[in-house]
Amino acid sequence: MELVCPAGTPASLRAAVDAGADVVYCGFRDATNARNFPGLNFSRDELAEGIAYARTRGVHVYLACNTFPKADHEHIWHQAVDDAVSLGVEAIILADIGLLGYARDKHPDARLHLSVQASASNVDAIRFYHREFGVRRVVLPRVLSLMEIRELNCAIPVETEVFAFGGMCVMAEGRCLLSSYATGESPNMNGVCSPAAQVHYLERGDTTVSKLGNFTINVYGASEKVGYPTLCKGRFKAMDKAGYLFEDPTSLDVTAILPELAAVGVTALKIEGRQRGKAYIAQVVSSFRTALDRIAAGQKVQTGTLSHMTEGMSGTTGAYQRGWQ
Amino acid sequence: MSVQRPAFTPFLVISPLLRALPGPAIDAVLAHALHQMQQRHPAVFDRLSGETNPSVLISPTDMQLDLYLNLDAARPVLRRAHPADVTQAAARILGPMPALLELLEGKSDGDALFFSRTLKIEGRTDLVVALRNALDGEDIDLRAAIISSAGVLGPVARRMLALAEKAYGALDRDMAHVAGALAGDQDRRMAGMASSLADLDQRMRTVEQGIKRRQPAALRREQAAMPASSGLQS
Repeated sequence: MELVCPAGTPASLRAAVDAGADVVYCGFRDATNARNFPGLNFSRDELAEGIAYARTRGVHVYLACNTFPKADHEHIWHQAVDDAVSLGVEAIILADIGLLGYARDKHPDARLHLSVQASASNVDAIRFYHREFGVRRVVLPRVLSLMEIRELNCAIPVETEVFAFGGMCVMAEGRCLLSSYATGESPNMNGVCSPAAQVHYLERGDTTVSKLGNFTINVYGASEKVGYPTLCKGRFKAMDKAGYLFEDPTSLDVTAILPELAAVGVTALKIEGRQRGKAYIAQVVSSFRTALDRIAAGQKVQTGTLSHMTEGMSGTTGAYQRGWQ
Repeated sequence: MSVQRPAFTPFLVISPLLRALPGPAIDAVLAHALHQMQQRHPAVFDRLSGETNPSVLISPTDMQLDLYLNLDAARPVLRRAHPADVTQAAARILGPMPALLELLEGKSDGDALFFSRTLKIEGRTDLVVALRNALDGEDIDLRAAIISSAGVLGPVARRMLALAEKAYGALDRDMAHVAGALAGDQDRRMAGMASSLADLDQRMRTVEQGIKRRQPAALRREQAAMPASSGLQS
């Protein structure tokens, strides 16, 4: 399986390449990608240097251009696609059908991948994207079980890429409006979930209060681990009990089920985390490289080595195994 | 209002020695370090160029010495913090000095340090995120920077650094022993309390299940059908 790794900065790209990535995916420093955080992402020159660094080491670079263009501002997204092609990325990761149509018409030879933001999770939807736009790979939303991925792979003419490690989503990718509701900005349109300018942490004695806009999301006790300040990871009161109604603060980690993912026909494993530091990228990529190499050599894989990197310091195999059912 | 207890690191011991040095001398060293950083890593300043008031108060929890950092490329500042900086800085980062240095060099992941509550932030989160990303985008090597800035005295600086690192390592190990000895009794007591709590929790569940089983089926169905009243915790 191909190991697809994140990079939010040139140093992270080098760290991913050096740690054993097969592919590094990046975004431009604007609203065209779903990790539009302050100080993050690549200028055109930085991406050109990054591609050169990766290519000399046999590693590919993909560009994520996976937000939805705003009316009258399509030219920003069109320019990102044009620049990605002229810089020579091996694939462009897209979600919007207008932008997919633009890329198909303007750059018929470009390799197009369907972003998880498109939320294509059934045979008809994926066949549509392949037929209409020539999409060659689909990044699957984190809603499918291993069995469902197997059935999908038998019925579709494109490669599948699945999330292997990192932050979890509420599994309505590309359709989630929680951040928009609270802040007016969303990953879909602005490339940012819970924009940092709207996040505030207040220290009250031994507790930490996290707020998004005007909403209190969580109150962490002295001994509790902290999660991302997103509404889906918030702790809310219902029937007089406070709890994680949507999702626990936890990270995906499929190290334990890598052989099963290979067996159901997955082509590529995606590590989430372009917003994370190069220390995270080096350790996570290296751990997955080792795991994949050991599996290829018929050896056992060590699990649980990345728990210190996970949100809430805990991991899950998510929908792949559906342990909650 | 936050409660900050000093982190138990070698900087707790080194800090009084540093604070005994003349203040202007400390400020001169800090200003030189920032100048070196601007020379070597201009991209850090470029990535923050869109920020208004990119000023941060850095509070090592093991040093009793706060630093004021302003990364405005035209007038960058790094010095000991003044009392007025507490209100003027746009954000504040609190954490043990070893963790802050590892973060500066990209050896630790900021999110992981935050999840584990090793680091805390106050004020403008977007500025702290931008600063973290800008620093992480560079390959900052403090050791190389110190040796290089010593000029012709580089080899001497290298030897002094090696000695300092050795002394730091020994102090770190000794302090870990002391911390282990001090925390031993408390750890055992906490483990005992956690075990009692888990036991109580289990007994409570058993009692709740027993009560539910004794309720008439019609009442159980009625309760299950009731809409959950939800609201944001505040």
